[in-house]
Amino acid sequence: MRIAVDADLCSGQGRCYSVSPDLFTPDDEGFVEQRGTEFEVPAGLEDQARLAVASCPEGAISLTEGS
Amino acid sequence: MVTEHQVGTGPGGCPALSVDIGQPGPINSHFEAWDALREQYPAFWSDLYGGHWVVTRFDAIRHALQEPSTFSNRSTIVSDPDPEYTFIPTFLDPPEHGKYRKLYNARFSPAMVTRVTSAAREAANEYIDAFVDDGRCDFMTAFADPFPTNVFLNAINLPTEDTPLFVAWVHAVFGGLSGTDPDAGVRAQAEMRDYFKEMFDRRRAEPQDLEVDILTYLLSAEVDGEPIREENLLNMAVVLVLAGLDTTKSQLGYNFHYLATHPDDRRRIVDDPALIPSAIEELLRYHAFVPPARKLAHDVEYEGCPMKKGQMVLMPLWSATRDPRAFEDAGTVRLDRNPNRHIAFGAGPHRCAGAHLARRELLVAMEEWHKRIPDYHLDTDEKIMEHGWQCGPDSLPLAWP
Repeated sequence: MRIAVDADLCSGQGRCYSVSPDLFTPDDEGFVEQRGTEFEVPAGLEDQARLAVASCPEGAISLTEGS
Repeated sequence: MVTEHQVGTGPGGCPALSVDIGQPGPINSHFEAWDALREQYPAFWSDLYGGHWVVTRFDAIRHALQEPSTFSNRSTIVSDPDPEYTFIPTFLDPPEHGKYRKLYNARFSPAMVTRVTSAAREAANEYIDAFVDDGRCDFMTAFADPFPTNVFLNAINLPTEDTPLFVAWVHAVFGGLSGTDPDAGVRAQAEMRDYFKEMFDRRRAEPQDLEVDILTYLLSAEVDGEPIREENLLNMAVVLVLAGLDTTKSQLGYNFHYLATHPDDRRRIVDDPALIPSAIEELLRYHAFVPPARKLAHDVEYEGCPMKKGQMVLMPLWSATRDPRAFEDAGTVRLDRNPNRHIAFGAGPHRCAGAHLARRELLVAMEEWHKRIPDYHLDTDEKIMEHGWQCGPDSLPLAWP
């Protein structure tokens, strides 16, 4: 499972690192550090990944299931 | 109260309504009226305030807020598409907007919020100390006004002794906007500018720690390689106050009205304070009282309506956050709702810069209050009222054993 944060849509609402703190971390400006990146979801964090997608007010986070 | 008058035909055959969100009404009445409007009309033309479009559903409101190249911030005041003044950064579009907005992001980051939390807890308890033994208070005057103002002033490193000044200014400005006394609003803005002019002068003479003092920081900041000129500094300071204080006050009012009138939910958060963070998100969703507007940068067909360049579009956030298309059981408060992707802080580039601070103020208020006063109820038989536009209760009498 891979997860991606769209750099244009992310506005720094901060919900992802609040609800999924093992997957996302804030930067100095309150944006998610992983903004504009795509990465493999570590094993065991799949539920946090789905929660982050469903919690993002901007719809900026997407998951690719499989692998 | 929202009153809906005769349905006629607007531009392009779209429905035309007179829906006045500027009127006072019973608490929550604006939100409830739009629950019905949203189901009937994805968009409509309003003939009030000079005539403007209204968009009602979550997806369309969020998309518009994310698309400043179509839905511009050149004006966000629905009745004034061509303001002679500019609010910075509120009235700016990308890329100009980002140059100013990025100055604020780090100042209102989660790290900064953590720094001011213990002082916020002390402040909350000091306000509660003043009335706890009385067994009653007007929540708005005794707590919702001064507490977030105090935390805000501390967060930007202005003297918290000036809390009463700011409370009065914010009352006058928002009272003026809702038509009570426009002259008092104008006077209050002028007084605030004078206050900040003097504070900026003091910081020039005696700079403070850049990391905590926002005025010193703004004086040292550059936009396009130039220092920010005085006029814009004053503008930014006033906008910061207007954006940060009326909002947190009203949200506290709605939260405590809800908890005062729903004892089972109140007991849940008293028994399990770990529920408070998700309760805060849900109460934000349920009472998203800010109605932003945008100005069309070009013609667009949107939600089935032919919108023209220069027209205004009103998008009450409560209409988005209570949309059953986006939220299961949207008309019910579920304190443990999770996920909750509400847009009570807006969406897109103008998303509330103070959202992290606001959330912390709400958290501290709800935690500290319920430690001291776990049981309380409305202290009146009269209906609690809310004002229109950026809605909020004006008075909330509470009593406790």
